[in-house]
Amino acid sequence: MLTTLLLTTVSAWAVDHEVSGELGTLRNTDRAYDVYTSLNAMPSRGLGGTLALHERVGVTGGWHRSSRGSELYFGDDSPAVVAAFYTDTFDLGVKADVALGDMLRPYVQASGLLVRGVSRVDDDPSDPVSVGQIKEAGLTGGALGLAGLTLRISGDRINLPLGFSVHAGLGYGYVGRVDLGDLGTIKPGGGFASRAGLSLIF
Amino acid sequence: MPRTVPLLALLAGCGWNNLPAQENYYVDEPLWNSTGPIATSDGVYVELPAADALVLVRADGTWSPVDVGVGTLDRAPSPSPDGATIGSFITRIWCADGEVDHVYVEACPEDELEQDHDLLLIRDGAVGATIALDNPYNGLRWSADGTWAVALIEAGSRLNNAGGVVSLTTILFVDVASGSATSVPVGFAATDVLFDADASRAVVLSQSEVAVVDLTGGSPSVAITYGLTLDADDVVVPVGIELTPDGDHALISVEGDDSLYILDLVNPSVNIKALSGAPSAMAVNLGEDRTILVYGADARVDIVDHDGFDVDSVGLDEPMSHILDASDFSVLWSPDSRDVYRFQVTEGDEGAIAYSTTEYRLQSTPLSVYVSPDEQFAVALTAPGAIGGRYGMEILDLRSDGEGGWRDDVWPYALEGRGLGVAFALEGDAPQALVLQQDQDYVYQFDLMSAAATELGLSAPPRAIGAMPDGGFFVTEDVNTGLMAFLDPSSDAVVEAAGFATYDLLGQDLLLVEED
Repeated sequence: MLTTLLLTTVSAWAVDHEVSGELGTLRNTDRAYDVYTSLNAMPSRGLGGTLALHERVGVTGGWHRSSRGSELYFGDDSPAVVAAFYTDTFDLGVKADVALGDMLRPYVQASGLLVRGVSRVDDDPSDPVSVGQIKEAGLTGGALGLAGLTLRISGDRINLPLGFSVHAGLGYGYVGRVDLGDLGTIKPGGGFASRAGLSLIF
Repeated sequence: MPRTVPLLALLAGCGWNNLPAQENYYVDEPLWNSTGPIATSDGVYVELPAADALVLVRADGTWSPVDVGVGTLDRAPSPSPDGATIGSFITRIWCADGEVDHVYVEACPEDELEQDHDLLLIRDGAVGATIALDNPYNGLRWSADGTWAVALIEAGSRLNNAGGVVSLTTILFVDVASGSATSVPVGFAATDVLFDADASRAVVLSQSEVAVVDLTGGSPSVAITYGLTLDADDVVVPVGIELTPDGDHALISVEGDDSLYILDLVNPSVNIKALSGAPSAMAVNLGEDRTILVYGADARVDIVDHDGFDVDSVGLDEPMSHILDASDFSVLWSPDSRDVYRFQVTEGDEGAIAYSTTEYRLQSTPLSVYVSPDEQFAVALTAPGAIGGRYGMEILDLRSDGEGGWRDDVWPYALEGRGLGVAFALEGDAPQALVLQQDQDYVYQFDLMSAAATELGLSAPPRAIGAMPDGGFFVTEDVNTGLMAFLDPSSDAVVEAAGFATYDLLGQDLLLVEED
């Protein structure tokens, strides 16, 4: 709805083509996630890009990986089990921004998500082929909405064919539960979301 | 490519040797009970304490969870002697505040939490019967043929978390075939239940009292009660009970008492025999039709005949505290003595009763002793001592020397690690001992006749060994995520099942049962 509002009230649109390296986070209060971390969030890193199809709208796509884990100890003399949880989140969506001068561009973004969750449990992490290794994986879908601000230096300003930008956005993400086989199910995030990154623009 | 692929994998943070582990957690309960699996004809049942679950691991390496519903398994499941049924107690928690959307226990106000207790009878990897309990029973006793199960509250168990009023004088008889249950009032704090050979009656031992329960009627009922004291101020705590082979008498030893209580179950009466001390072990030998008693502080063995209940004594060189029963002899041993005795009742001159005692001298004190199924050998796992300072295994030859006596041969072996357990198999007529050693990832298979040995490799050091009903064996291995090997001694084949201990790893929180 915010996208529609911007599209109808702002006249100076100019989405850049861009390639980004990003950091992000997605809130996760699912109890199953407590096996891996006490953190109620899933920090992630990834890559993204925007293809400006229209002067006001671009198509975005990207990939983020989150990985958290813990060593579980059972009694005093028991060796640890390492339990790790990874998510690979692939997003595809639309982005619209508005130019406030040449450098500032507030934006909104809405994306659909495809999330692959993987859990690895290993009785002996020092042995890459130990018999105590368990791996379960599953797929789910979701959605992500962000609103943020881009600070850009265009190539024209610095006489280069490429420009640079930094962006940060806040929003909300929803992801369905992932079935991890015999380990159980887990919800790989849902709630407050943020993403920030550095981009090459052209 | 050989360089770029690992680099990309590292950047992505994947691969088994660099799993992320930003935090440490300490978990109260293990993922699986590796020392208490239960072998049945279905496979091996394994308790998962952290997940409150039970899984069935099969000899072909497959496994599946047993659907016990939402609840907390109270303690290790109990198998029936015939191996056909597993009994398990479960506590189910529900919220009485009327809200239907509570999922977790902490979502319910504490004063609205309610508990129900069930006994689950499990067969073929599934719950066959669920018996609602009116008491938080936590102990199970079985008749030898598995037709009856008796639920009781184990002595010394804490009842702090049990809701409601708890009856301490009733036990529950369960007809396993029909699933019907009958509460039977017996004495205070019942500790043990024995069944006679045809399971037509049960003898229930409780504080200062013994009840005989008739099982032949429509429902179990107390036939007669024996008081063990005439003075209400005296508390008599029975610690051991045995039935004579004909089932006509029950012999009861008592905590801190030098007396042997003999209950005549046919013509109800109590006879008290004075012993030379409080026995440390008591066993009825079916072949000899006598009861054998040993005393941890007294170097003697007492023999009670089952006709007149006269007590004979035979002196030993050192006190014994354990009895292993064979068909017509007993093996006596103690963890505090290097002596092991083969003790047998024989016929002396002119038909008089005589006693045969063969002494075996070990190199080190035993940690555990096992008699082979053919009763020709005993295997003692010993403490570090004379055998090069290492843990040992000593083989005792229990066979006759052909001249009316018995061999006292002992063959000591130094083990690589502490002996954890022994199981026996037969290859043809040759008895085989399968020995587990701590931190050694193999099973030592030892031919007791020829002394030939082979090693059966495992993926990890073992924890426990047990026999399967089909003649095979299972070995639990020291892997937290669950690893069990199934051995076929005849072919040396080893099949392993792995990963079962992580079942429901993500669902370990206490859940509420939906209110009916």
